[in-house]
Amino acid sequence: MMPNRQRGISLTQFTNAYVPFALLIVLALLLPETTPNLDRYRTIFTIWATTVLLIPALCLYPFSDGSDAVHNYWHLLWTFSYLAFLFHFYWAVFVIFKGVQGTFVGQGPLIATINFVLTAWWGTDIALSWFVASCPTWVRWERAGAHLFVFLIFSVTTLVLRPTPVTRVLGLGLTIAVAASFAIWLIVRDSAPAAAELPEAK
Amino acid sequence: MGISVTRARGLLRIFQIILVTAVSLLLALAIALPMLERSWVTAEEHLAPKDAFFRGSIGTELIPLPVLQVLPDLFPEDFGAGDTWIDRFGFLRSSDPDGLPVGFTVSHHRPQSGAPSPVPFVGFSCVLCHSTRIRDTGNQAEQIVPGPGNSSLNLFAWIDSLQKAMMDERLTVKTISDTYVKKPGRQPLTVSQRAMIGLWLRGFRKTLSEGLPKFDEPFGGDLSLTPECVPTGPDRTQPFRTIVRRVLDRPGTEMSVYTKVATVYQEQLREWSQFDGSIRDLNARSALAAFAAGATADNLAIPEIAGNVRQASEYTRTLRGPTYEQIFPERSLDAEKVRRGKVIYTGAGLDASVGVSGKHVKLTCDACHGHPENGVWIAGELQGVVIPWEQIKTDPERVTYRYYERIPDRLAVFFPANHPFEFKRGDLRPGPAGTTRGYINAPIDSAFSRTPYLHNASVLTLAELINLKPRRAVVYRGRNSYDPVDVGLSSPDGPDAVHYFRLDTSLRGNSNKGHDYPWPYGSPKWNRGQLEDLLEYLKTL
Repeated sequence: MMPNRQRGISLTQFTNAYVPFALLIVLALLLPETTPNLDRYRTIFTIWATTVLLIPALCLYPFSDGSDAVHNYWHLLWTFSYLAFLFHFYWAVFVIFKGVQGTFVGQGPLIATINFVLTAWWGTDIALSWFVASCPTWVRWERAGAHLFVFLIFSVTTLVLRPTPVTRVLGLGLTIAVAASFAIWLIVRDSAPAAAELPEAK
Repeated sequence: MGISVTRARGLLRIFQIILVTAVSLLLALAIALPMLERSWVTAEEHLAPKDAFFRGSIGTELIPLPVLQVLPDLFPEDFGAGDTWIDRFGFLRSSDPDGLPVGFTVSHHRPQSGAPSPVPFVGFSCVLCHSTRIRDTGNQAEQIVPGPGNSSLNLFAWIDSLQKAMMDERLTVKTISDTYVKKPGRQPLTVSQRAMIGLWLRGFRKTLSEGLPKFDEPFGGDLSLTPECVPTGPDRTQPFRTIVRRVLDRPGTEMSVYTKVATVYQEQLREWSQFDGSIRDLNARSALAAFAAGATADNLAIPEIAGNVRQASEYTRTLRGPTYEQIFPERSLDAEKVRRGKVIYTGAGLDASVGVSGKHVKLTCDACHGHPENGVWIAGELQGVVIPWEQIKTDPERVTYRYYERIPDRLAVFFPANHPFEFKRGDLRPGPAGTTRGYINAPIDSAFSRTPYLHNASVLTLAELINLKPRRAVVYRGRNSYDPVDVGLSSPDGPDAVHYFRLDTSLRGNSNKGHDYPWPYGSPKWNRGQLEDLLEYLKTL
């Protein structure tokens, strides 16, 4: 899947990815003004925004080796979902838990470590995707691992660890959409050689 | 004539650039807002214990200051004209430059969340409820006695009137703003202040509207001052109403649990607090009081507010009440009567089995309440014991209401783990530390200033409490003056403008029966002379 190709991102592609990201973050930062706890709900709403952006990013990932358009949309959504996640990360770590040490105390060593690894790995992959032109095998494996890790963390968190009605819907949407996308990719991939053998349409 | 593809693409491109720019500006504003919000709250202030008690925010922010200041102009039928609302509801006047009564504290924390606000919000500090004016000598601001419940404060009536006004559609951001700016020396409200007031008003109204099916409509006007509509009355609270509503999500309207605002002298003398001895930890009892007055688990976790609650608690740990002679220096005590009275205090009483353990003791005043010695309070033999209500025979509603046993379990898990005021289950009763439904024997230092008496404030004077005089079945409450002879609050025989609240002790939750010590009125052992001596001694505590 998907070598690191720096393909020309069109204004339309950028707009289609950026505007939803920006509007979701605006909502995630402003809507808490109507809630009983500003910081807590900013933390919650930013992770919801991240999940919403992550669904198309993860769904597009298996196909990102295809057309330039699909690749660019994956690249932009993967990046913007991470930027959204950074808003959540800031509020969770520095506002709610008052720093890295407080995060370990508040979340416990296991959860906190997983969250910091997630943030670092995802960020590293974003950097590689933008700044490393070639895509050696180790990057392919790294990227596949990053996507799998992010998917597992988000699906487990939304469906098991924090199953509020909204997160459950988001988690189900994420899991079903990504599973369907992967299944389609498998089908398409398996049928691709056969299709290649078909006689050219007259 | 159609549009060319090239031109359409050009227009689309322009639209996309405008859209991205506009959304980027919006995003920048949304990101700037949290930074701006942090500038609305001044640097965290660490108040000394007394300052925290008198003016520290304890998370009870309720209403924007500009809104509070225009309420009498917009709703004179509920609040009276000008600043008469202060007297109407029994608040204590102060020298505050904003004209706020004692205990109204201003902060830039929003209600409930404690989030920063561009407009100042008014909340309550501890001194609002826990201070009173015993003697009116003309200089009102200088006569505040911290510690006892405010004998004139009808807080529930004020809240009822406030809710009525908030439900009134005439109250809008525009009417608030227009009325506010007409006041002398007031600057127009800023855009952010108006926005915050609008946000608050919408939220307040939504909460009230959603509660109407459960709690019914507020009364407002003069009805809020009548016992038929708002039966709490002056110097009393319904401590469990808010807790039942917020912790159990039940209406809590059928409970006749009317409780005197507690006196908070020398809390260090009391291992277990509240009239029924249901809370142990001093900070926890303060946090629960703040919670019952509107604070939340969220804002009680804010360091500044949590610090104020702790510091205010420290103030009450050693706070001493005044002596009778300090307040009434012209009324010298009869030393011989005091001496004889002390003998009654320490020696007169019925032999009885007391408490759940059935301990057989002589029920003297001293055994239950202790006495002072060289400036130190010496605990009585039974001090701290919870006496079953069936034995003491005072009004049982406080300890027999429907949810009495469920509240501690829910409170113990209501505040999240690691919260500054996380309640330990062992510090709440009924529970592992005891299940007796009754009233705790507590110290009575500065007894004369603790008026009115019994947990439901149904007895106005010490003369009635010790059965020197028969207890009045009906008294009239409001801004009652102090009666230094019978030692307590005076009451006229009928209502008037000042004594508007008819406290009928035959009604549920208002009983003035029980605690017939040292003897029931008119019983064979009853002795007027000895009781007069006892009353004289009680003035010295």
